Amino acid sequence: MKRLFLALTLLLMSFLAALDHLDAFHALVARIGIQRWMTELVLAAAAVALFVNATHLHRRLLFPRRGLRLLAAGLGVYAIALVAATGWLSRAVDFFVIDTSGAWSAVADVVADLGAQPVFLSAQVLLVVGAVRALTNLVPPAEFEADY
Amino acid sequence: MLRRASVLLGMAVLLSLVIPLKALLKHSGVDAALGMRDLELVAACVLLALLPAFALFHDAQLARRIPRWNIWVAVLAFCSVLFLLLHLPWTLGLAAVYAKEALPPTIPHGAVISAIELAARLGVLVSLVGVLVNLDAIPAEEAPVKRRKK
Repeated sequence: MKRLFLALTLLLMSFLAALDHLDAFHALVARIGIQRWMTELVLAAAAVALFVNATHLHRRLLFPRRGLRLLAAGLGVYAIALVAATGWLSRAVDFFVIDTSGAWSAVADVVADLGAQPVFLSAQVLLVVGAVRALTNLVPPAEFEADY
Repeated sequence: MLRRASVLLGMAVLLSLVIPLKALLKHSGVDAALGMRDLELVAACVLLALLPAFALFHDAQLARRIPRWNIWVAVLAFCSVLFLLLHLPWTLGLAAVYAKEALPPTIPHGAVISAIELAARLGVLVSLVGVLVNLDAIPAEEAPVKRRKK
């Protein structure tokens, strides 16, 4: 459930990031030092929490669970993309790879060329597939109402 | 058939909004190579997203699980078509002309169209989630075990 919650929050953040309509609001809150991603995170987490609560999602997930491995993989790749976007990945490789002539230099080159965008894209694809698989594996509403 | 098509289209629209296909196409220079404008790019992204949407649709056996009559499906169909129409140059032009004539001059028609487009996006998001959480049970031969009551 935590994985699904995180995945839905990240996907909703991505949806909100594509909205130009919120630019004025973001500019307004930027005056008090709040960055765009922070606002999107708060909005997305609040909306997902409301959705989970309103639909009793945690009680409606069926066994065997579907999509959870994909969600875990997506979250992992998303974390790598975040690290790559901040530049920490290439700095860490530069720090640890001292010998620039060996096989490790190839790894350093690959990491240096690794753009964050394709990694984000793969993470989002995994998250979307995982989330759809999880959300289509619920107890039907009529059956749930009869049971609880 | 109509229900299936509307859910498939809704999924494609939402996938194109959630996955940054537009940014990827721009980044790779495909839009410049094909001479596409921003509007056409959005429609192209929806078309591109139809393939993964179909795969997800098939994987979840949605064709057999969409309820016969559901308000979410109707809203999804309406919002998806509205979103697409607002991202085709000629229909957007028609809408702009109509809004300019119908609205008083004090109300900017561009803002109204932008608000309608936002409503269509949010409508697609909310109604598709509504469809997914209100699906019928998986057909019996492959149904998973139901969670035990606490």
